[in-house]
Amino acid sequence: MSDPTRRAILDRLRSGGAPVAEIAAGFRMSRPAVSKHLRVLRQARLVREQRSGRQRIYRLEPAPLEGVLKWIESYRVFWQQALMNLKRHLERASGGEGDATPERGAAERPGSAEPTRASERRRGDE
Amino acid sequence: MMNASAVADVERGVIHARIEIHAPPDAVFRALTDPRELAAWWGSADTYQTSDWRVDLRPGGRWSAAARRRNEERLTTVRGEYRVVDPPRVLEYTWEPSWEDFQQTLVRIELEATGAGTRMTVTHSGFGARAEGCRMHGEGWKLVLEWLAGHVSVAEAAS
Repeated sequence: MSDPTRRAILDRLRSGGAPVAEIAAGFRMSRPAVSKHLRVLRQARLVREQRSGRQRIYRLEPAPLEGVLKWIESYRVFWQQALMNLKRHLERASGGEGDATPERGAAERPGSAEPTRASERRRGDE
Repeated sequence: MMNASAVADVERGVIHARIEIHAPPDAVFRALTDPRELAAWWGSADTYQTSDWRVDLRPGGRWSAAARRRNEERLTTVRGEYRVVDPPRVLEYTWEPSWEDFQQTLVRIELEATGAGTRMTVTHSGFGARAEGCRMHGEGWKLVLEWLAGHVSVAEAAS
């Protein structure tokens, strides 16, 4: 990835797959030189090769990064839910007492009816 | 009404989340650090539920909780270390879940008093550095995320 030509090849493939000849033309490089770079990128699983008739088309291979993307996305959803739970928890705690004294709210006794009702309601939402 | 927003800055590997809560900052801070309150709200029936919270609330102090994921018997663990403890404004801690081999990311929470209560912002960072450490070096991560973003938007436009 540190090689500027390989980065440029990846950049070129962002706009779609291409055969070696076309990639080489864009860089004014010999086909064997481009093929060598493509081999490195294939070994790094950043590019895959696809046969199309007599040609080989090279495309980006997003699979290894999709895992990372899914990882981040799962935490985005996680925070959205966690913050809503926290809001519900705090606003119920202060709202139910008439004045804002959250320490006397639902969390005071973990075995009290309030958290049980809340978890039943959440299950019902599924 | 439930105005929670969370966005992922994929290129930097950071998640920004924000919510307005009708409760004062010290009540929010307590909910974030008191083991009994944490167990009451952290998690949900459709993701996972937490128990057995242990909190040593000081910079360098450790925290941990047991988590049971939905439809799984097995208990997992989330743990970390407090980095900044500045009630009721800032709480920063590392996040190390067993289901990710205790890979470390960083959570920073800032609380700001508003007329109606508290504005809470969460910055969860370190995804990029981790991904880079696993698979790429140097500029690679940034570049590849750029093209992946292009790939995703192209795919969305096509569908």
